[in-house]
Amino acid sequence: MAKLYITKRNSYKNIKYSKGKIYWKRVKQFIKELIRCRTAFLGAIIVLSFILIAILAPFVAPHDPLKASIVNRLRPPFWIEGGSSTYLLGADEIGRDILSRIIYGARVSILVGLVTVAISGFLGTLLGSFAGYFRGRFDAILSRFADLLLSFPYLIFAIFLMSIVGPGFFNLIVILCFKSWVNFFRLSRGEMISEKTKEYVEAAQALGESDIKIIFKEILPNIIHSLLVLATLRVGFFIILEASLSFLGLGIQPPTPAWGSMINSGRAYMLSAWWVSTIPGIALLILVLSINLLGEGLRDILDPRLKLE
Amino acid sequence: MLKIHNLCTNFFTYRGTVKAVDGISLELKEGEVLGLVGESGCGKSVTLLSILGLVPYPGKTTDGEVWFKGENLLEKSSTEMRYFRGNKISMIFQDPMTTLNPVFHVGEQIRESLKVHKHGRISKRNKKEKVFQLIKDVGLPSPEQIYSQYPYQLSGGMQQRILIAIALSCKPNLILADEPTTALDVTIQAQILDLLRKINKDIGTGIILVTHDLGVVAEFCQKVAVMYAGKIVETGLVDQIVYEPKHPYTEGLLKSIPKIGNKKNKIHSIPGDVPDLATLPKGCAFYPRCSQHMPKCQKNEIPLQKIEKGRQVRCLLFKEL
Amino acid sequence: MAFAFLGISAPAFWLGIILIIVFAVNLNILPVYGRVAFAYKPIHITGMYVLDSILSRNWPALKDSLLHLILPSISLGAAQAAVITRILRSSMLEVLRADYVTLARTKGLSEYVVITKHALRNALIPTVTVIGLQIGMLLGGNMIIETIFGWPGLGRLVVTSIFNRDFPVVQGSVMFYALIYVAANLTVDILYTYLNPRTTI
Repeated sequence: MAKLYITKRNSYKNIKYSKGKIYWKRVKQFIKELIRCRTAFLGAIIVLSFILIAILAPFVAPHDPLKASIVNRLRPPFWIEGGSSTYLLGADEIGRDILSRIIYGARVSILVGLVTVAISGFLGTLLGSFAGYFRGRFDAILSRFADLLLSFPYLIFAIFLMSIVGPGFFNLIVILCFKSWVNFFRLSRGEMISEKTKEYVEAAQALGESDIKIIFKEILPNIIHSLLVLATLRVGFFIILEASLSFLGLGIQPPTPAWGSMINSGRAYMLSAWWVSTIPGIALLILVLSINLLGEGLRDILDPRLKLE
Repeated sequence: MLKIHNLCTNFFTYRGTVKAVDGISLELKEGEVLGLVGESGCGKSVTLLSILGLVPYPGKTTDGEVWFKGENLLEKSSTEMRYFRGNKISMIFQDPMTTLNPVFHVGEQIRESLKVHKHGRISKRNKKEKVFQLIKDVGLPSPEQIYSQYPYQLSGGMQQRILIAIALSCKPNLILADEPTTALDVTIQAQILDLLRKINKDIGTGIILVTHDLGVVAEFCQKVAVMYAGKIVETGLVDQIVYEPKHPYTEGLLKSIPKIGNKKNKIHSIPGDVPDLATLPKGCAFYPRCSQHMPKCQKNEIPLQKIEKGRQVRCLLFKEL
Repeated sequence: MAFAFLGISAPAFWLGIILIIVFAVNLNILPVYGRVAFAYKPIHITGMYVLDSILSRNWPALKDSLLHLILPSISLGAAQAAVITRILRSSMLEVLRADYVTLARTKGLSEYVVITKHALRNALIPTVTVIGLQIGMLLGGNMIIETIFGWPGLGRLVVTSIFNRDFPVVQGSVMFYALIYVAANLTVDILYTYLNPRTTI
C-alpha cells in the first residue's frame, strides 16, 4: 500500500509550545474539520439550536404550555383550514399550544439524555477501565453482572423498576443510568484490554509510573474518541427511551410537557386530529436525527485523524 | 517488454496535491530484474500500483504511458486491465500476514487466481493438483497439508512463499515485488530471494523489485533506479551504481550502510528529513540535504541527463553526454 | 444511509403510529389491528398463524396473516435495520482499506467478487455480533408496538403482570428472556467460528 509521509514544516522547530496552546490548536483544527463535514455540521447546528431554545424556553414559547383553553380545543396547525396564527402548530385535546409544549418538552428530553449519558458514561468508563486494566476477580464479577443486566430488554426493565420506585424525574434518571453504564463499561473495558498490549504502556510501566497514572494519562486519552462517539449516539437513544416511557405514562408525569406523553394523548385522535401525535414525533425525529448525524460525523473526524496522527 | 514513459500519479488531498509519482520513465526487457530503490514515502509502491491501475483514492494517474508488450495499460478500462492483473503482471506485497485474507485457507486463495484467469476450463481436481504443484515449486513441503491451512497458521516465510505462489499461478511475464523481504528476517530473506532468482531463470519472468535495502539490490538486480521525492534521480547497471554512485543521494545511501569491522567511524547518515510531498520546493528536491549543493540547483527543474551508455542522473554536477 | 439514519432516529412507536395513519387510515391497503381477521383464523396447530396456515394449506389465512405482519414488522424492524446498516458500513469501510483487498484486486478479480467474497466475509464478523444481540432483543418483545397494533404478545404480558404484581409470571418471563439471550449469543458464537477461522469454540 502507498505510505504517504506528510510532515509539518520545520519552522515550528524552535518555538516552545506550552500545553495550553497545543490543546487550543487541536480544538481549532477539530472545529475546522467539523465544518468541512457538512452533515455533522448541520447536526451540530440543529442540536445547538434545540439546546438554546430549550434553555430560553420561557422567552421563546408563545404560550404557557400548561394553559388550557377549551375554546381552542384540537385546533389544527396554521397551514390547514381552521388553523390560526396564534396556535402555530395547533392545539391538543384540551387546547394547550403544541408549539410551546414542544419547546418545554425539549427541556425534559435533552436534560434526560445529557444527564444520563454523562453519569452513566463517567461511571461505566471508570469501572470499565479498571476492570480492563487489572482483570482478575473484580473484572469477572463486573462482567457477569453487566451481562446479566444486558439480557433484559431495556424498556421492560425500566418499566419494572419504575413500578417499584414510582415516577418522577430523578427516579427516571437513576433507572436509566442503572442499565446504561453497561455499554460504556463494555466499550472501555474492551479498548483497555487491547490498548494494554501496546508498547507505550510497557514503556510507561518500565519508567515506573503507577498504574492509576497510566490509566488516566496514557491510555484514556487514546480511547476517549470511541467513548465520545458512543456517548453522542446514546444520547439519542435515551431521548427516545424517555419518550417511550412517558408514552406509557411512566417517567415524566403530566401536566409537565414531555414529547412521549404528547404522542400518547394524541392517539385517540389519530383519525381526526393527527397533528397532536405527529408533530411532537417529528420534533423528536429531528432532534435525534441531528444527534446521530453529529455522532457519525464525530466518528468520521476523530477516527481517521487519530490514524494520521 | 515494459516501457514506462513520464508516469505521473497525484494524490488530491485536502491539504494539497501530493505528486507521489512525478514523471517516472523506466524500461525493462524480457527476463530482466530492475531494482527500484528509495526511502519510505518516495513513491515506489505507488509506481507499482499505477502500473496496474490500482491507485487508491484520492490518488489518480494523471499523465504518462505504460507500454506493456505493445499496449498502453493506462488507456485500458478496468475490465480490460483485469486480464492483465494476476495473469500477465502479478504483484507481491510487503507484509504477507495482512495481505493474505485471514478467513480463507491458502489453497483456496491460490486456486482463486487460477479460477479467474483460466476461465474455468480446468476441472476442479486439476486445479487442486496445479495448486499442489505450485506449492511445491515455491519450496514448501507437504502441499496437501499446506493447502488447507489458514494464513495465521503459517510462519512469515511460508506466507510470503504462498504470496509468490499466487503471483506465479498464471505464469506471468512480469512480477512487481513491493519490498517482499522487508518484513522477514535475514535468513528467510535470502531464501525468498533465491526463490525469486530461480523463477527469473526458469520461467524468464521480469521482476521489478522495490526496496530500500541496497544490499538486496546489489545481490539480486541487474538494473537499478533510485527514486527520491517522486522522481528518478539515477539509473544504471547494478555494478555501476554500487561502485560508482554519481548522484549525492545515492552516495549518501551507500555510505550509510554500516560496514562490519569499521569500528572507528560514526555511522554516516544523510542529514535532514524527507520533504513534504505536498509542498515541494522549486528545483532539486534533494537540495536542502545535499552536501554539494549549488545555488543554481534551486532555480529550475533539473532533467534526467544521460551521462554514459545506460546511465542517467538528475543532478547538475554532471554534464550531459 | 439517509434511510439508516432516519430508522435509528425515529422512535419505533411513533413510526408505528405514522404508518397506521398513512397506510391503514388514508390509503386503506394494509390492516392495522390484530394478527389476523377473525374470519380467516386458521386451525390451531402451533399457535403461530403463518405457520398454521401453511400447515393447514389455508391460503387466504396465510395471505391475511402475512398482511397483518407487515406494518408491525416495519415499525419494529426499521430501527434495527438502521443499526445493522451502520455497523456493516463502518466495518466495510475499514475492511476495504486492508491489504488483502488490494491483493484480491491484483489477482484480477472483478470488483463485485472482491466486495462480496473477500471484503464482506471479514466485515460481517462484528456485524454478526450485533445481529445476535438484536435477535435476543427483538424476541424479547416490544411492549409498545404490541400495544399499538393490538398483538397479545410477551411484552404486554410482562408489563401487565408487573403492574398487577403477578410475580410468578414475571419470574417465568425473566427466565424466558435470559434463555433467549443465551441462545442468541450461542448462535452468534457458533457463526463466529465459521466466519473467522482463528476462533474455536
